Amino acid sequence: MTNRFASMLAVTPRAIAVPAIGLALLAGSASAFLPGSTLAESTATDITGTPAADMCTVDGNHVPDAASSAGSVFTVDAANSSASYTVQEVLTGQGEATALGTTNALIGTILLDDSGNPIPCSVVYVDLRTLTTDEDRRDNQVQKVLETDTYPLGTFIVTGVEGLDGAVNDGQEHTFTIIGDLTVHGVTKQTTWDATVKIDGDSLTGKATTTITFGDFGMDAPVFGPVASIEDEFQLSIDLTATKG
Amino acid sequence: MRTAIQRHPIIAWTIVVVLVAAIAVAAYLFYLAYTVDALPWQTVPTPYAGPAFEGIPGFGAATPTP
Repeated sequence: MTNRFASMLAVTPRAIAVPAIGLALLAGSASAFLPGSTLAESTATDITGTPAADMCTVDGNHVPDAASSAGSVFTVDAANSSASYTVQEVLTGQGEATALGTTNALIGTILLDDSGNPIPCSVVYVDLRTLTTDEDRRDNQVQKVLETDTYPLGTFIVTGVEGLDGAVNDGQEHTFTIIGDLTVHGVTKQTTWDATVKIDGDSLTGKATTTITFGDFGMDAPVFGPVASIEDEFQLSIDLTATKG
Repeated sequence: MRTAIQRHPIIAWTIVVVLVAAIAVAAYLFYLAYTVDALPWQTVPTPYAGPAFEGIPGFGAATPTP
């Protein structure tokens, strides 16, 4: 009984929560970015001080209205993309362990201007209900922490970039910073992502990562007494493949 | 008439302490089991198995499944 219980906790920590998500990418409340609406709840600002809520709307197909004036529009290829979270579990007697949760339930649009520079309002949606790890019980706790019954959708809206030297559509890999509004658990925060992006012809590939805390998005890090606990800080990442058109 | 505690105070109080400690430990284990949904009557975790984005306001069943 004791061994069974300890073993269960060792792989379960409720947790792990949330997370998830990534590059021009993810997460949020179900009402944050719906067709024909604005991000009314957003309080984040971009590098020019403009909240995503004030400049980004989407049509009925979840494509940003800004796409009509963009030079290039890339559509996320969900089958070859993923959003994930990585969290450290601290297990008494076993030290730290890393839990990885992933999903490829993504919908997104990446926008570039005529010169090949990223422009605001690129968006990625993630169905947080589909996040899975190697342990069902952990996944269950993740869903509880995320409250996916109420907030099944994660949303990320790009509001700006920093550190980009030149256009990204030159076939070379570029490393820069993406700034955008991340919505998870019904809370929208401005987040900064370290991104690596390459555009080669009609194909865009990239990866972006950021670190957030449970507290940032109104969640509590799970704790199981002296048996196990979860680091409050965790990493979100997204591996993205998108095609033009 | 002396009570059992009066006749064997050390044994009696030892039993009381052991019982209280046992109850406390059981309660704590119960709490831990509750937090991880391990109690028999708690729902067995069932990962979401439906189509991606189905039922999410603004997406609905018509949304392409990634």
